[in-house]
Order: sequence, then structure tokens, then C-alpha cells
Amino acid sequence: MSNNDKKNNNEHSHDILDLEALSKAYEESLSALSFDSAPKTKPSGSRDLRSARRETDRLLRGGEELKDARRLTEQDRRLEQMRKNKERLSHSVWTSEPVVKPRKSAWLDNANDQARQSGERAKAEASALGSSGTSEPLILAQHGSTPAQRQAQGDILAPLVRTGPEDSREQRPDERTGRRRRRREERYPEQPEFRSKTQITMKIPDKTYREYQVNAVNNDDSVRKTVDLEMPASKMLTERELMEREQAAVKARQEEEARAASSNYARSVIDDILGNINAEEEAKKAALGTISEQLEAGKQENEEVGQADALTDTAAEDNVKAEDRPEESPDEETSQLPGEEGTEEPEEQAVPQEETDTAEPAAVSLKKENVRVTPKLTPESEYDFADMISRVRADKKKRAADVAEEEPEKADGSEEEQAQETLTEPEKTDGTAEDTERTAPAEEAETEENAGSVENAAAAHETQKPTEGQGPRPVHKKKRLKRRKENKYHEMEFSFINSIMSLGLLFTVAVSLVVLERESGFIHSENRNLAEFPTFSVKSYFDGQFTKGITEYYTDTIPGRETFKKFGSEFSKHLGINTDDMVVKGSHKTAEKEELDEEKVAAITTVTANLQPKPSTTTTTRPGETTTTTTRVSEEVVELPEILDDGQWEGDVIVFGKGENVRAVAGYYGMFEYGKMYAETINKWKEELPDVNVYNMSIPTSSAYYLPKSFRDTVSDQKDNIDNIASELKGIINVDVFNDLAKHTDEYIYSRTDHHWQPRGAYYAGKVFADKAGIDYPDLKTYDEWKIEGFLGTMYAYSDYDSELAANPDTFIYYKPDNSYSVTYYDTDFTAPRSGDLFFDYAEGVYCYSAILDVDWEVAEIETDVKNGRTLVIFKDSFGNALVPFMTHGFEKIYVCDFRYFDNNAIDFCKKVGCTDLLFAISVTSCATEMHIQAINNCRVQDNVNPAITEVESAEVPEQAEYEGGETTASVSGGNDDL
Amino acid sequence: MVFADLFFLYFYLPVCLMLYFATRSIKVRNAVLIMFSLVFYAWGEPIWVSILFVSALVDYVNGRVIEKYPESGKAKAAVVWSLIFNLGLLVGFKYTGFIVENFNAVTGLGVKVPKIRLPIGISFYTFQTISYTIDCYWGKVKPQRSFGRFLLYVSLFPQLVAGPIVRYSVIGEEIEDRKTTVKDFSDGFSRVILGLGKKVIIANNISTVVTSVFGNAANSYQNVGSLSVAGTWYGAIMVALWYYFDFSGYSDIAIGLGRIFGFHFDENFKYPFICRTVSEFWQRWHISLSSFFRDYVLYVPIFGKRRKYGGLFLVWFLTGLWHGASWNFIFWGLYYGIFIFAETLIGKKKMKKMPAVAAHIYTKIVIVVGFGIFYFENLGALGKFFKGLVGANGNPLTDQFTSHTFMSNLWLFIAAVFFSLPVIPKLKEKAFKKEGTAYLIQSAGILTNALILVVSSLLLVNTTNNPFLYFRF
Repeated sequence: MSNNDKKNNNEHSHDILDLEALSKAYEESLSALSFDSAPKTKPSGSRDLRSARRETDRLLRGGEELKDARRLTEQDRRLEQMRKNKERLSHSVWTSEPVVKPRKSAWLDNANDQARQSGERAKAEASALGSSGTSEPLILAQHGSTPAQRQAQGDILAPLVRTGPEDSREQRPDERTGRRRRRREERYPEQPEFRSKTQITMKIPDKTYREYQVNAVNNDDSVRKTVDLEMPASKMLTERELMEREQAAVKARQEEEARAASSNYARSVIDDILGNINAEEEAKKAALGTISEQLEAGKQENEEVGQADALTDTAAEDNVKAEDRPEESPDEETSQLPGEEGTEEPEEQAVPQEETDTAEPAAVSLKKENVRVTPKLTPESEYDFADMISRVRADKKKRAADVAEEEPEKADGSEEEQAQETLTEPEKTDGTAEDTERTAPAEEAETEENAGSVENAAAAHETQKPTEGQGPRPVHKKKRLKRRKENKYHEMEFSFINSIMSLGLLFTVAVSLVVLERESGFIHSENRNLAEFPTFSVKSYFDGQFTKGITEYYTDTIPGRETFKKFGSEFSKHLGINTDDMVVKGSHKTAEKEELDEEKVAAITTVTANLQPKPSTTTTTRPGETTTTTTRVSEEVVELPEILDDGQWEGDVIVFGKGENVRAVAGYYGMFEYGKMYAETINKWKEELPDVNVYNMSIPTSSAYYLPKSFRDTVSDQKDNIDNIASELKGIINVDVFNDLAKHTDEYIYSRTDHHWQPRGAYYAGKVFADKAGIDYPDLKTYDEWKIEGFLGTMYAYSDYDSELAANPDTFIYYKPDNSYSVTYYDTDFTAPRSGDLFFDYAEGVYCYSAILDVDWEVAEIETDVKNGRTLVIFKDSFGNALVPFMTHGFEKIYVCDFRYFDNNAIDFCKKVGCTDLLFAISVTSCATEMHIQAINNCRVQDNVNPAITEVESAEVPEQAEYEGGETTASVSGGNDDL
Repeated sequence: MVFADLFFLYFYLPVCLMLYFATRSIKVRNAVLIMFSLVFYAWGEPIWVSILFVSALVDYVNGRVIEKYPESGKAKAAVVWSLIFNLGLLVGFKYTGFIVENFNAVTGLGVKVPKIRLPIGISFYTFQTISYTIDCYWGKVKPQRSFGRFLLYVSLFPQLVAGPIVRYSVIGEEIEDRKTTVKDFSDGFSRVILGLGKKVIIANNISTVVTSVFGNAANSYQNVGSLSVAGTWYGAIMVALWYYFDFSGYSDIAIGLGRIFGFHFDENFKYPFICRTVSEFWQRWHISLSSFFRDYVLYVPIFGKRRKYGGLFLVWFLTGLWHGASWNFIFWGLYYGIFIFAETLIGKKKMKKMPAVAAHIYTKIVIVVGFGIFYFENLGALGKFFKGLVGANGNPLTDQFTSHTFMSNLWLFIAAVFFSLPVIPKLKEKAFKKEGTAYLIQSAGILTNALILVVSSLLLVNTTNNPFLYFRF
């Protein structure tokens, strides 16, 4: 009978065009499908796919499989290629995205296997051309239970179907006749399962590697392709129904055999055909329908069961109609599909068709069986064509209209069902999946199928969801897809919270920074003014200064800036363990060790001061005229930056000590060669002022006396350098204060948070000078002591705002002499005199040191009540300021000039003011810095008429005939004070 | 404008996000992005933003030409012209001074060395436009018809200045059609914050250590000659970590920002320090650059089939040269080229047989020394560095300074090494197996994000603080 059936089927298949069209549609859908197989089963996948498809073709069309086989090969090739691409481009776990591998859910896998089996059975039943009546479909359902055929049907019914190891088990032996079974085994030998359980990729355009990368890298659900494979609810019904249907099928088979015995062969054939047609009808309907609709359809079918029974009597009529209608409806379906869903999604339509294929018959059968225990299963009774067609059309309209509304409900419904199933099914599925096939206990299998059908329904539902970006419907589907997967761990919720948090922080800070008042003004710790909002000009914009200024302004004037800065400093303290109580900042430098030439030092001839000096003769030249002594070789004035500091800052800044003893020092890295250069420079001064007592006091810095032992090897020796300078001096009296200061290191002679010395230290140094110069030097007790508290000096900033320093600031203690004197300040070119005071008691913060003599870019003239005819000219850097108050008892006149900001010719100046003693009071760091040495030289060689230093760019400054309060180089930098 | 800056984070970015997400229309969104990208670039380069525009225009036209006359001489001419123009720009701005210097050194002529300021990001966007044109010619991408969209591709600000070299094929479709989901948003922000933390918290602090240990170009690497051996090695390791965190931090910010806007860039760094071979290192380090050279230079048969390895050395020469106009960068490239050459000679299988410990030690040493070469732009200092590595400079194995520096940056060092290994992804992977731990790690992730953002912002307040710059006496 099976042979005859087959032949008849083939004949009939040729006649039934719609079936072919349907198959074509299925093929189209398959071409867009691929399976995201689990790696271990990948290799066999394509083979199975191909063979499965071949089986399908044989089932459907008999001899036409060749055509399809060719197409299949192409599809297979494409699928293979895609799979290979994905494999190749998939990234390993070493990405910054967490690799959340799709979880293999036991219930999904097993239950879906079960479901698929039954689904396949139903499908086979529905789609295959059977032999007699209802028995043939049932037999073909058993075909479906052959591994090959299961795969065949599974192939067509891909979205609905999950395969697994369980599926490769045998058919249900009790549902088959022996002969058919043998035949089946011959024709469809067993083949291993291949399918992946978790995902199906749909609609893979044969494009670039891009999408695979996205897939692989982000493991992102939002990628257009991966779709979670779930079964639609219709499937659930389907499974249940299918189980019952199988029972009914057994009975129906018996009936059929009875009928066959009665040789009502033609009728059974027609029944088969009808069954197929009906199945396709159902499939198409399902394609367009939704779960709820199917449920509705189920309900309707329940109602129609009665009608169907009535129809059974008019079987012939219906068959005729059925033959007509299938011709129309597939065309309708297929023609409508593209128009309805867009060209991208015919496959999806085809797929849902498949669902409904299984769903509908199952639903129908279930509903019927709900009504009657043992339904009389006839194709006609199952399918009411008129109703189905109308329902299909209504579905289409409804679906187009109600996409958004339905789907959330659907999704939730399916999710809930799944969730419930998940919770309840695992044990059952494991245990019963195998049993079902062999023993087919009706109830268990039924529940299995129910569970599976839930998933199947959901899967079908899922698979209706197309790839991303195709429109509102796909978008919703995709979102729900994602949500379903992520809801396992509430990833969506966490993502949401994360986004809210980030956005919240971002916008809160953004708004507050715009709204709140900004800091402005002078910052003591950084010794500068805070940035201001830049003014716009075309030039400043194209310079880049405008935009840079805005950025700087924005960050610089943040409200509460000082607090935040301290946070930064504290944070950097905790980057490690401070084992030795030291904090080291700056760029480490290890000084080269230099050996002092002892012989040279020993050979220093001591120069003594002329205690009765006569002021050197000066030719009274008006400013602007060159001196008559044209023998002076015009030496080059070296270009220097506008602002010079107290020597080049380099090397480490070390903060050590605790509490009130915390101290910040900077290493000294002077080299002998610079010392020599310095000595030679001031030797030349002596040469030009032969009658003047020229003294050199190189002032040590605090690191000479206060330096952790571990650093002593890395810095240069200050005493050696001072000795080195001394050995190079010619005719200059060296005032060596090093040892004297060393005697008083336990006193407050150096500031702890500032790189300067305290006036007390200057006092001790001045004493040495006084000895050398032969002047009066009263005791410190005779001075009036003044204090300024809260002195956080320059080292505070250099130490990166060390909190220990901040907690223990210095006190600036200065001493006012008790004799009377008057102070006149001039500009650096010795013009514009104005009277002032020696001390600036209102100095505060980082400027405490400038309590004496304030800024450096002026020339100070002090006339004292000491009438000994000696005029002292001091060329100093900032260290020399502290010495000045202690000189008032020794000299009649004192001129204080900063060699960095002096615009006249120093020699002329000295002669002009009648200098008898010239003192260089310069820190050792300046003495070792080339730029400062050059500045000292500049002072000597530059012309009176014009300043030697204007801007960095200008080279030699041209002479001016007249010099009447011309440009000054007083580097006026806003209101910044200089130390 | 730079990413690790308060102005960018708290002014530019919120405004950009507000305007971007104000509408759903792709056209408006693209327009917003173009505008903001150009403003971003013009912020730092008010004049040379024109170069960006012109380069985009040139390659847009080239793409159209290739589209119109595919596989013809005109298409080839378009490619050649694109190469000439873009490479000409790059060489002109970046390498002129270098070339003139070497010319002077070789010929002894005292040609004045021009000081040309390099426009930021020019190395990146010229390569991007070149890759686009070549891809069009090879048919890999469909040439973009709209200049606006192409300009968006070129000027997209996340990847413009220091970002990965994003190829057109990667985001071509997303330019036309993309969307940002909540997950995109969240992941994007997480990525941005991660990158910010890498840059501000780790990389900036490591750079202080490196400057303290080695010195920098400004002071001619003053200390490198007096370092102990351990100090030299420590400094070299810190340099490697510094460049990794700096560069990958910027890439993370770029990828995260792209994600927020709906673009999916490719990864640029994939935990390079877990590599077992040097070839693997380069598959994980600066992937966009190495893949650019691999795809567009290596496999182009310049030397014909006989000289199999000529292309390899050319590629490595160019890789090194791309990083900077200085001989040490070229040495660095060729240094890696030699190792990769050696490894290809040995063969993959034998390399795989190398025991894990040996492989790791070998690669780490190569990488660390390589980054030392990368750091010292002064060849004399580089020589001192090498001497220091082996102790040939007469310094002890370790000294007080080294131990002090190491101890006072201990946590930083440990954190840097820890986060250069893919610990967090592994942790996440494990945690997601169970529900409870999944919740835990996700909440921890959110809290960590907030913490990193706050700490980085606080640390960024200090960027305008530079006492050495401001102090005067």
C-alpha cells in the first residue's frame, strides 16, 4: 500500500501546485535560515541539513528533489561559509564584554526535543502525502520520528524544532506497522542530530564580516541576527494535541485499515490530500496568526468541532472545495506575504506558516479531543476551510494593526508559560523525554508535549521576530527577545539602573558646574591668579588660545577647587606604602660626584676689605650718553626669559618629618663648572671696579642641612661647590657662611614649607659678612621681632600640597632694626623714585617672605643714620632680601638690586651711586644655573640706555638716543607678586 | 579637546547627548554628531580642521569616482590620488622636520629644520580615509553617496583624535541606520567610565612615576644614567603599563562613546599582556593599526612573491614610523619585526609547544624592553637605558631610591598589573552562571562605575595645577 500510496502521492503532488509553491516558500525560508550550532555538533550540521532537505523533497515531490538538492547545496554552501565566518571571527573570552554564553536550559532542550518530535510528527502528518486517510499522515508522523525524517521535517520546521540527542533515538515502534517501518529505515537511515538548541540566526545577508564581528564581540542581543529559539504557545497546544492526536491516530489507523480492507482507497487518498492541504492551510494561517489568535482559533475550533462533524458527512463536497481552495490560498498567502511584511521577511512568514501548520491541526485536534474523548479523526472534520480562510484574512489584518499590543501580551504570556515550564519541567523532561518515544505513556507525553509546545509556540513566536531595524514590529520583537534572555538575571534592569546612574551623575555635575559660582582670584598655594574666561577675538580663536582658555577656565575655577586638590594629593599618597616617612616628588636626579681640588682650595688667598674705601670715581654721564671710556668691549648680552626663578628647579622634592618638624626640601645639583663660570663672571665685575670691596656670599639652601640620609648621595655637596667658587675668585672677598649656619641648624633658620631661609638664618650669615666687611653688627636681641603666622610657602606647591605640610605651616619671623632709615624705591632702570618702607607687614600666605622689601623688580635705596661713608650695593636674588635689614647698622647707604631685573649698566650704576662695597648675595642654586650667571653678566655689559631684556624674542636691543622713562622691562605680570 | 578633561565630560558631552537624543530621526542625529565632531576638532585645531574637511572631501570624491567607474583606470587613479594626498598630508605635517634633520645629518648641509606643529589626529583620519578608498576599490564597501554621512564617518569625534582606526565597513551601515538601546547606553557608559578610570587613575599616576624614574624628554631623561638595574627594569615595566593604560583607556572611551551613539567599533586592545608569542601580542595590541597595515600593506604584493619577508619588514618599519617621527620609533618597529620574523620562521606549531612559563617570560621581556625603546626619543638616553638594563652602567642592582619609589607606588603597580589581565571578564563570566552572583556582580559593577567616575573627576580637577609652571621667585 505504501508504494501505491507513494505513487498516488507523487501523482497528486504534481497536480497540487500549491503544495509545490508552499515547498518553494519553505525553501526560501530555509535559504535565509541558518543554525547557530553548538560547536561540537557543527560539523555534522550541514550534512544533516542537506540530507534532511533531501528527505523533505522526497516527501513532498518525489522526483523533483534534484532541483531542490542543487539549491540546497548552494544554501548549504552559504550556510557553511557563514558558519565558518562566524567561527573564525568569534572572539575568545578575552574581550571586555562578559561572555555570557547562552545557557543551555534543560527544559528547553529536552522538552523541545520532545516537542519537536511531536511537532515533526504532526508536520509530517500534515505535509506528507500519505497513503490512506488519516492513517497515512500518522504513518508519516512516524516517518518524522525516524531521525532522518525528523530532521527532514525539523529542517522545514526549523524554527519550531529543537533537536537533541534524545531525538536521534528510534521511532515509536508501537505506532508503526512493521513493513512501513522497515521501508522507512531503508530509505531514511539514521543520521546524527546536529541542531543547536539555543539560537537561530535569521536573515543573514551575505555581506561583510561586520555582522559576525558584532555578533561575536558584543555577544549582543541587539544584533540583528540571533534569535532565541522558543516555541510558541500554539506549539504547546500543538504538542498536547499531537499526543492526543497520536492516540487518535492509533485508533484512526485501525479504522483506516478497516477502511482499507473495505478498499475505500480513493477516498482515503483524497482524505490524505485533504489532510495535506488542510495542513498547509493551517500552516499559512499560523504564519499570520498569533498565539492568542490560535487560542482563539482553538476556541473557535471547539465550536466548529460540531460543525466539522457535520461537515464530515459532506466529505466529498468539502474535498472538492478543498482542492480548489488550496490553489488559491497558497497563492494568496505567498503573494500577500511579500507585500505584507516586506521583502525581507518572506522567510519569517514561511516559518510561521510552519508553526500554524503544526499548531492548527494540533489545536483543532486537541480542541476536538477536549470535547470528545476519542474523536473520530477525519480530515474534513478537522478542517473547516471556509472558516480557516476567513480567519487567515482576519488574522492578517489584525496582525498588521495590532502588532505592538499583541506582542507584549504574547511575550509575557509566553514568558510566563516558559517560566512556569522551566520550573516544572526539567525533571519531567529528562525522565520522560526518552520514555515518551519508546513507551509513549499518554499523559506524560502529553504533558511533555504541552511543555514543549509552550516552548515551540514561543519559539515560533520568537522566530516571527525579524532582525533589527526593520520597523516597529521587528524592533518590538527584538526588544522582547533581549528582554527574555536578560530577564534571567535582570540584566535589563541593571543596565537601566547603570544608565540612570551615569546620566544622573553626569548631568548633576554638569548643571551644578554651570550654575554654581566659580572660584576666582589669587590662589596662594599656586602663587597665581585663577584663570579667567578668555575674551573672544578672531585672532585668539585662530591661535587656539580662546578655546584653550575656556577649557582652562572651566577646570581652574571649579567651586571648591582647593578641597578637590587636596583629595588628589591624598590619593597619590595612598598609591603605595611610605616605608620611610618620606614623600618624594619631582623628577629624580642623581648628581654626579665631583671631587674638589683640595690644592686649589688651599691656595685661596684671602682678600681683605678696604675699611676706608673711597667711592669709585664716576663720570657724570647723563643717561643716554655713552661713557667716554670706550675701551669697554661691548660684550654680548644674552637673551633670557623674562622671569627667572631662584635657580633651576630640578630633581627631587622631598617631604619628610612629622608634625611640627615636617619639612620640604629640594635637592641641589650644582656642578663645579657652573661655579667656575659664576666666579669668572663676578671676577670681571671686580676688574671693572678695582677700588670697590667686592664680596661674594653664596647662600646655601635648606637641603644642605636638612636632608634625609638616603638622599645625601644623590645630591651635590653644597660646601664643595662653595669652596670651588671660592677657589676661582680673584680679588673678591669670599663670605663663606656655610659653617656658621651649620652651627645653628637647630634653630629656625630655614623655612620648612618654603625654599627661602628665615631672617634668623640671614642674621647669622650677615654676621660673617660683617666680620669680613668690618662693620657694626648689633645682636639680634636689639631687633624688633615680628611674626606672620600661617606661612605656606613655595615648597607646599612643589610637594603637591602635602597635607602634613598644610597642617604645620611656617611662621615667618622677621626683625626690624632699631635705627632710623629711609627707603626709596626706584624702577629697575633707576627712575621714578618713591618712598616706601622696608617691611611689608601685611604680607601673607605664600608671600610672607616678601614682608621684607616686597617685590624683586625694583631698586631699593636705603639711607641710614650711620654716617660712615660706606655705600653698599647688593646684587641679589630673592635670598638676599633677608640680609638687608641687618645691614642698616653698617652702611650709610644701601642699594638693593636684583640681578634678574636690572636694566642699567651695573658698573655705571655702582660708580654713580658711589659704591664702596659690592656684595653678591646669591643662593647656591642661582650660582649654579647658567641662565642666572648670564643674567649677572648681562647686568655688567648691558647699556644704560635701554633695558637688556625686553621679551624673549628680541635679541640685541637697539640703542636709543634719548632715554626718558622709556620702556621698562619690569616684568609686570598682572598683580602677581614676585618673591 | 581631550577626553580626560572636565570640560569635555561635564559640558560638551551632556550637551551633545541632549541634542542627540532629542529626536529619533537619524538625519538629525547625524547632523548633531557632525556638528559636535567638527566643534570637537576645531577646539584644538581651529585652523587645521580645514585639513580634515578637505581630506574627507577628497576621499569622498574618490569613492564616488570608484563607484562610477569600477575596475577601471579611473578607479585606480582615484586610489593613487587618495594615497598621495593623504600620505602627503601626513608626511608633510609629521615627518618634514625629521626628514630634514636626517638630510642634514647625512649631507652635512645646514638646512633649516622647519618646526611644524602636528594637527592632532591626522595620523588617524588620513589612514581612515585611505582605508575607505582602498576598500571601495576592492569592492568591500559600498561607496557612500552622501558627503554629510562620509564626513560623519571621518570626523566622528569618539574615534577622531586618538581612537581606533575605524574602517568604513565597520560602521558604514550604522551611519545610515542605528539605534541605541538601554543596554547600549549602559554598556557604553560603563566603557567610558572604565576608560576614564584607566587613564586618570592609573595611567596618569604611572606617568608621574615614570617621569620621576627616567626623566622625560624635557629634561633629557636626566636620571636614566644613574638608575640601578632594578630601577631600570622597574621603569621599563611602568612604561609598558603606562602606555597600555593610557592608550587602551582612550580606546575604551572611544568605543564606549560610539556605543552610546549606536556605533559598534571593533576592539582595539584585548589584554595584550597575556600573550604567549610576540605575534599574539600584536594581535591584541592596537588591533586597528596592525590590521590596517596587515590588510593594506602586507598583503599587497609590493615585493612580489619571491621576497616573502620583505613586506613584513616594511610593515614593521611603517608601524614604528607611524608612532612618531624619531629613530627610536623606527627601531621599535623593526625590533618587533625581527621577533615576528623569527617566530614565523620557527613556525606556529613549535611556538605553541613552548612551555607556558617560558613563553610568558620571553614575551614579557621582549615587550618591556620594546617599550623602553619606545619611550626614549633621545638615542643617547636609549643607550644608557640599555646599559642600565644589564647593569653595564656601573650602578648597583638596587638602591634606596628604587626601593623607595617601588614601595611608595606599590598599590598602583599591583593594580596596574592586575587590571592588565582579563580578571574582570573572567569573574563576570563565572558570576553569570548563578543567579545570586549575577545580581551581585551587576550591582557591584554599577557601584564601581559611580566610584570610578567620581574619583576620576576629582583627580581631573588637578589638571590645571602645575606649580613648576606657575611659580616665580
